[in-house]
Amino acid sequence: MIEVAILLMAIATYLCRASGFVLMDMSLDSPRIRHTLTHVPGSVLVAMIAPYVLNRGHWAVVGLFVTAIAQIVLRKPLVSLVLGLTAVILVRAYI
Amino acid sequence: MAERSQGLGTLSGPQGPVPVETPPSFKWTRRGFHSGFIKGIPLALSIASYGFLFGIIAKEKQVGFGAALQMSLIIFAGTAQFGALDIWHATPPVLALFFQTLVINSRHLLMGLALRNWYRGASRPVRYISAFFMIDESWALTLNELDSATTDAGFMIGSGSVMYLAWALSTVVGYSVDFIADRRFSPEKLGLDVALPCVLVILVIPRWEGRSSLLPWICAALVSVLCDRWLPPGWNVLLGGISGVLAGSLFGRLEKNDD
Repeated sequence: MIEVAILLMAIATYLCRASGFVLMDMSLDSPRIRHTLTHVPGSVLVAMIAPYVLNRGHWAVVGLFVTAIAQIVLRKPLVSLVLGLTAVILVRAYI
Repeated sequence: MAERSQGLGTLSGPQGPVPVETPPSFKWTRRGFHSGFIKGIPLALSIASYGFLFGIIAKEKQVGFGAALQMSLIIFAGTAQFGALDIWHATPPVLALFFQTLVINSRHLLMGLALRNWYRGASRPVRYISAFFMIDESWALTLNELDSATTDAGFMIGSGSVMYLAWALSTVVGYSVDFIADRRFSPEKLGLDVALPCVLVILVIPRWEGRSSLLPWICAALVSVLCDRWLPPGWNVLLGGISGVLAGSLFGRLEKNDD
């Protein structure tokens, strides 16, 4: 079951990657389609994050907030992550 | 994106020059591969830091070592793999994983199309191999290279390869780090149970495109939270994501996104 899941995910990923190369001979690149697709990654990521903020435990939110601020200011993924996790550790230890 | 000049060359076969609309002269050389491989190293290092995290979190989520490595080797898509960990179970929700991966990676359709002036003359095998190595980072690097008038597909395959190696190796290293086994450092004490959403937050920050992102993000968040309450795991991401995209597409303004 696990192998099937991984294989299907690989197929899904490759379909997405190859589709642009297959379709590039056609003129599908309309502003409408382009505009629609620009919203895809952000919306998907937000959909992943939202339940952590609203449904699952309030201490996670502290970490997410610190991580977000750190990433906006510093733009260094590992540093932002370490700061966010440190915030969670501190909050759990002392509050 | 500037339209590249093309059709300047003529195909001169043994039958003499053929007056056709020639594709841009297109190469696939070892030199391009090397160049991509070297120039890809800095971004590969940043990918390795994510791969390291992927290994650690995969272990924390009790994904087997084989499965985690397989994911990095044949899926090779960071956001999709972290997303999979988010809804992973002992019996994984196969359909949800498949559709979630499709949705997360659908941006690659656009990325591939963005390379079309460069690849239009390429043979099918070259296209299909390049497609496997087209991740966000190698794509960005390649677009950058395209501006300096290179027409060498080896570049994207080369830069993708070094990133592929970095991703697979760092997954192994992350998974092998054994501090979780020591119960004094439980995942919760280290904050590792929050690591995944933190990584997702790091990934989403650069996707903010000003006010046009506001409505899609709100819709995605609301629908996702509701689905998370009422539906099986995994569907919240798919349905939330689609709601966000629809909201942005139906109510957004077109002109801001025409570059």
